[in-house]
Amino acid sequence: MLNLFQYGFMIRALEVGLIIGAIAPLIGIFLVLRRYSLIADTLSHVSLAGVAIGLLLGINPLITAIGASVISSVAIEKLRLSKKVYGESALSIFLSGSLALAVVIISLAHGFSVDLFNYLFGSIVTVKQSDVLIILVTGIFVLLAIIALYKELVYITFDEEAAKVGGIPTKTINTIFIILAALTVALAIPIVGILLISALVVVPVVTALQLKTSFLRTIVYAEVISLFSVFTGIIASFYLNLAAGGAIVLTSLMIFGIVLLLNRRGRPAKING
Amino acid sequence: MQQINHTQNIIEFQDVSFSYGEEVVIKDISMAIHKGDYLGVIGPNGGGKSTLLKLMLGLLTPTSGKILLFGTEIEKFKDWPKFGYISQKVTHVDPHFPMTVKEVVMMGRYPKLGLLRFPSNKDRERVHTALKQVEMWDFKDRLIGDLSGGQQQRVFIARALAGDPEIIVLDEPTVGVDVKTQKQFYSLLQKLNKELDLTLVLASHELDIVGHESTEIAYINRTLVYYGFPKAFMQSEYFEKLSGKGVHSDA
Repeated sequence: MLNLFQYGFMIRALEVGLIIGAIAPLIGIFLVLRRYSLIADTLSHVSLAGVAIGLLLGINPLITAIGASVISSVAIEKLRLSKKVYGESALSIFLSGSLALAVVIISLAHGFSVDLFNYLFGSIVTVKQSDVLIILVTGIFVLLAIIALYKELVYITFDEEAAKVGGIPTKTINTIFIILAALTVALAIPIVGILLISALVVVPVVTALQLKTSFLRTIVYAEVISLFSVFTGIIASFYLNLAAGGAIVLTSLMIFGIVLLLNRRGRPAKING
Repeated sequence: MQQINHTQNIIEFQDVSFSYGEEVVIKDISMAIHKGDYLGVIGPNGGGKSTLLKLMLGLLTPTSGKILLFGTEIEKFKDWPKFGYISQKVTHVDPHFPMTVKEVVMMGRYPKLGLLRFPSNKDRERVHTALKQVEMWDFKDRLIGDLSGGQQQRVFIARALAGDPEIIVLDEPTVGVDVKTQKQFYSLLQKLNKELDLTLVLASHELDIVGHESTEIAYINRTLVYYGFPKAFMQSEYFEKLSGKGVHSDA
């Protein structure tokens, strides 16, 4: 167990994994409660297009992924609010559109297959030293921003109209939030992988929601579950040579299953009201 | 306006109209709500009650006309914590929302606190008082979704009270609540109006009840059909016509 930390890549993976594990549920709780968690999926596919562009042009794919994700998040919100299309349709357009773009770029370049696999499913060896800095700095920024806007986000999520009446600038805060979500999704790519990010955003929160407790406690439980899953997933990935993203998400799903089971057993049949 | 004898105008509508595209929802409404009023906004469903409320809360912008809040034009008005708002949604709380009664009421303090400031002991004390005022302190640690509709209403009143408002605007708050609970709710509103001197604006289609509870009546059906004292209204031709048919069938 000790020799784990002799490997530079393991230290990098854990550093990056834990910051992602910390911010994912913070974004997730607001997305889940607003019935908007599908945007995480959409933004991850947009990030794939970003990664493809980066690989094609020889730019750090993490940077192009962040750019693509942030720009698209704002565009999705604009399209959604314009009411020209339904909310879910805005998500589908961006999801399939960016996937199409990604596939075209990949086939144009017909190369980078190994790299791409790592970006799709996450890998503890993908994280480069230069990524660590980007992810730590941006991740801490996201963390602080969520804490700073916590009150407002809570109010908007629970009762957007009342928040607006109270003078909370709901539109601005919604835009900032969606950008923070986009950053989180893009940052999670190297370690969790494009196809599995939304699970990390959603599953720990949904698990914590089963415990039926206060908002603050729900967040704390989600954090514990998320950080534990990331840690366990990365360690398992090292010893068993698994894709990190898969190991992380399976761990969190296992906890979800256990909580669901215990909840069923521990509680009498659901009481109405 | 009319013979109502209050001094300070809290809300003033001057020839306000509002339309969704081609459809005119509110047309040329002028009226004033004074400090201490308990105004019942009544009228048929689809007659523009909710729209009127949303206009005075700045959630919608008039197509034409002017709205003044505490003497300031609504576009320049900044003192929003003076308003408490209880929307129709109150009776449709997501039962799985992970939030305790205390947390819900604390939200009422958030607009007052402003950005980047977190609740202090003073805020927690205010939450305590507000929950006592609506007799819901014993439920403080329960989840909002686990409460009955009537209890939830009280919590939302407490949330509004926690913000130390001068006026509370309620949009059909008793939809889907049984008669007994409804009675208790209206007596709570009386207490807020009489003992705490809060101005109340209540939209409702329950003509009879509002006629007995409120101090002023505004009957809205696209235009302001009637504005004045409830007693006079109940004796007027409108009331006879409306209650005879039932307000619903008017929509």
